[in-house]
Amino acid sequence: MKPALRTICIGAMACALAAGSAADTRAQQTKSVKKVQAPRCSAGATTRLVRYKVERGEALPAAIPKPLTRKPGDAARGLEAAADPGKGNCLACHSIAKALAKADQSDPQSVRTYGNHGEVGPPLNGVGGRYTPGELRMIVVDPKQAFPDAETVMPAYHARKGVKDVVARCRNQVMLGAQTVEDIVAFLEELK
Amino acid sequence: MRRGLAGALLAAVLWSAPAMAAGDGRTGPVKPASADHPLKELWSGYYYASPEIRQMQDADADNPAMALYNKGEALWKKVEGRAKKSCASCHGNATKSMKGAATRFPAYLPLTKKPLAIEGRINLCRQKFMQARAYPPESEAMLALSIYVRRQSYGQAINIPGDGPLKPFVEKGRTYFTSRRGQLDIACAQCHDKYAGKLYRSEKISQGHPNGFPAYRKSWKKTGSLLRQVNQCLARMRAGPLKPGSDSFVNLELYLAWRANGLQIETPAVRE
Ligand code: HEC
Ligand code: HEC
Repeated sequence: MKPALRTICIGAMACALAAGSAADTRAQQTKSVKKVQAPRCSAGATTRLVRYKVERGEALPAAIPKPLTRKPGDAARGLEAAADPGKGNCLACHSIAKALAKADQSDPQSVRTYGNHGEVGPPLNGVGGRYTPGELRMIVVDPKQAFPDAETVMPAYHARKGVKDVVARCRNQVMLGAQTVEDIVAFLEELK
Repeated sequence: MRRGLAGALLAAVLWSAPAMAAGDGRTGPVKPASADHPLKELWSGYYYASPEIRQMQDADADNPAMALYNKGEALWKKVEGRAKKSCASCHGNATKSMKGAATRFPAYLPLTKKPLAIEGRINLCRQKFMQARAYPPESEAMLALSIYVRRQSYGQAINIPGDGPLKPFVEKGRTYFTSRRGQLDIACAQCHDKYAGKLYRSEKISQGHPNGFPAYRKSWKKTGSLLRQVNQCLARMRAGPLKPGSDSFVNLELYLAWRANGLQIETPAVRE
């Protein structure tokens, strides 16, 4: 596994750019004192990056037809991961009617998780009818390969090529593990 | 409340403020002055705020950050350090001497050949001329005094020269703002240039201007500096935080100020 690209120092100005350094040192100190595993970046994060093969899609330039794991994705778990601000946090940018419907208006915690959505990306209702499972997998794994416009703001959930200036606690990790990606893909497939 | 001349002048400025509608020059839109500006129209964060938040900002009594303004006024006059001086010993009446200062900061400091933000200027004066100790970043004293100083430019348009000695530093800040970073691998510009006005979860994304800082954020339940805001955005991107007074942060602040040229200072603002 390749380590995430670090900020390269060219002169003092650029060195100051490697702003995570203080936090780094602190994290390292904590690690040596507590002798525990490297702190996880968020609930879904992992350092395990699964290899996959990219092929041409139908509607999109790229797709990953073969699932990342042997165990089939679980759509119900996928919904949870898509809503969870610490996992997929897809609702930060997308509206998903099926997730929003789960919000219990009498419970602030539930409203926080399911009950609000962003408008940065398109609503995901019906997305299972627009794309093949392989294309949906490609979108979640690495949208810069999936979309013709590589300038997309959507984060890659299972790729980390070229990322720089990552906060110490997330370094060398991917946003979501392979099984969670499969769960989310299973959930998206059902959005017909 | 004893606010003296500062209070009287301030009240005069504020009196004309309440019924601010779009287009009055404070909320925007302001046309960017230069051709290489990323935005077609500039809108203050005030424009994207809810009526409830705007009202808190408009009425001094409802703005929690105004308590710090009053503390700042006292600090301005407080004699400290081995030189036995206060800010007022050198600068006199802040309502005159500090008027317009915030529209020109971060400013170029020939001594270091670098831009310096207001916080840096305050600590420079404290250490060099008052022989007092520097205020820690984000301390109550630093927030209070920087609010007090910036507030003297309330309603005045930001005016950072994009050419001359500041130019390379503006460009460095621009590079930072437009570069992807963090685990999410996105750039400040992607949210604040491209998606301003859209919701991100439950928050309305603004154009990310610095004209209201230090500001009281309801979600913080506290008044915080521009650095605190930027570090919150960086945390959202899962990128490393910027250090107070670091070259990268001051260059970014300078670029944000240049990008907001023409928008009025509204420190201390209230945000969601
Ligand atoms: C920071 C914003 C952001 C986040 C977070 C995000 N997306 Fe996206 N997504 C976008 C944008 C923007 C697009 C539109 C494509 C483009 O950028 O050109 C998009 C497009 C998509 C599409 C294609 C939709 C269509 O109709 O073409 C799918 C599917 C999708 N996202 C799924 C997800 C899932 C699942 C998650 C969470 C695991 C997620 N997105 C998280 C911003 C985001
Ligand atoms: C994922 C989207 C996103 C990214 C990326 C992002 N921000 Fe923000 N930013 C927000 C949101 C949401 C807010 C809160 C609402 C608001 O005030 O705009 C905010 C607020 C701000 C504000 C306060 C504006 C005001 O008037 O209250 C500033 C300044 C700012 N951001 C600067 C930055 C800088 C600098 C970067 C890059 C280091 C950055 N942002 C990256 C989403 C983002």
